[in-house]
Amino acid sequence: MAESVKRLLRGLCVVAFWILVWEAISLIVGQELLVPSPALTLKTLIRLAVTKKFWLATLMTLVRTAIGFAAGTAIGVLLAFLTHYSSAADMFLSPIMRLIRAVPVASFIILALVWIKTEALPSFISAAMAAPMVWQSVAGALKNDVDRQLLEMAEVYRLGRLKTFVRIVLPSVAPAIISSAVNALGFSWKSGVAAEVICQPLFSIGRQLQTAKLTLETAEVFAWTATVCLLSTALERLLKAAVKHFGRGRAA
Amino acid sequence: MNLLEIRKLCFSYKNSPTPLLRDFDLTLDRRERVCLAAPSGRGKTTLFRLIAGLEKPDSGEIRLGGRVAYLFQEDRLLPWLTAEENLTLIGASREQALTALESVGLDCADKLPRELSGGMRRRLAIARTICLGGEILLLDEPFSGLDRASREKAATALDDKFRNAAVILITHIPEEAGILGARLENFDPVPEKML
Repeated sequence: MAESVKRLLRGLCVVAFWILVWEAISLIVGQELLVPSPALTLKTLIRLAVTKKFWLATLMTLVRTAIGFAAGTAIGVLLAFLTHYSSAADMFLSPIMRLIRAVPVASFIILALVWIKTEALPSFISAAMAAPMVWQSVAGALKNDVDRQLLEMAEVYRLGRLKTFVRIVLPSVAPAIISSAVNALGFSWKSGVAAEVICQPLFSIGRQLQTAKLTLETAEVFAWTATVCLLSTALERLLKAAVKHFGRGRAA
Repeated sequence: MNLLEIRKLCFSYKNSPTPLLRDFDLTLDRRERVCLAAPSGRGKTTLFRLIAGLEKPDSGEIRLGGRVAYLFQEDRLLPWLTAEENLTLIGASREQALTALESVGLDCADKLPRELSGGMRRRLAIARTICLGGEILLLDEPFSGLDRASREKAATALDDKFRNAAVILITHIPEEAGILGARLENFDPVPEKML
């Protein structure tokens, strides 16, 4: 049997085991209002999935988070280069980036709610969560992963600053940019949804989650949460596949 | 003017109590070729780094009458570029790159360095030095890892390209000095009496 099929079967077994645990907990508790069964959650998810509201909320959440993630990644990369090449920028910006990393997401959302419009807040939070993660990883790569011997070669062979940057520095830190972006994606996505729960933009998964909670529709809370988890996994796999496709054969 | 003039060159690394070079002199003119012979750790590679501008001397003077082509002891190839791209990177045209590859006996223009053997990578580094050209050639263990035939082919290619250059060679194999027609010189950067 092929290794990939074995891996798939193993994965399915693990998923089946935890669904059984979930079912057992639901049976023990005996109240669908507190812990809905997997079957009810699936039924609710299917009921939601045929509504326009579901797709509109999902799409808008995706768009907001994607904008935030892309902006956060770009800012993280730019700041990493800035703090690497300028000691003044390093002195002033690095503590701020570390501070942003340390502040709890919830505090950040509540604070940002005071300054930023509801519609833009999830994107802002996604960006604010992604940027420090990417910054830290890329700044570390600039310090440790750029081969000094290649930089010396570039100097002696007079490649020039631009060529050295494009042909040596960028490819050296590309793996760090990619891996940190992949890591930041899940975090960015979850933070974006958390921000939506608090600020409740009109069409959003966060608003649907909050409404379901207020109306005691626990099965809907589970169904929306399942949607968030599935999309998070799908986005991460999509990004990894894209990276693999475009980086084929060029890895150092 | 000579192509290379080194006068009273002094150099020591930070945190090192003893100087690596002290009042070191060397003069080379066009077509002059020397092979510096000394045990490891005596500062031969450091001298190359000083000539190439990668280190700053404590005192003394290095005067260059032309461009420096430096074949490093390590291959220093860009792992994400093909053999041909490693050559065109430094400004060679595609034709020049292919000719240089051919001159060292390589037929692997589209291969990445990790797909090449150690000896092939060394020849690729030599081809890159050939593409770079220059009037002062610094060769640091140029033929390490090469078999006799490859060594002779690479030496001929270097000889053709740098016929009029001033050449300094560092090698542990005296036979290599003979292949390039370099005279052996005892490298004594810190005379014993001064220590």
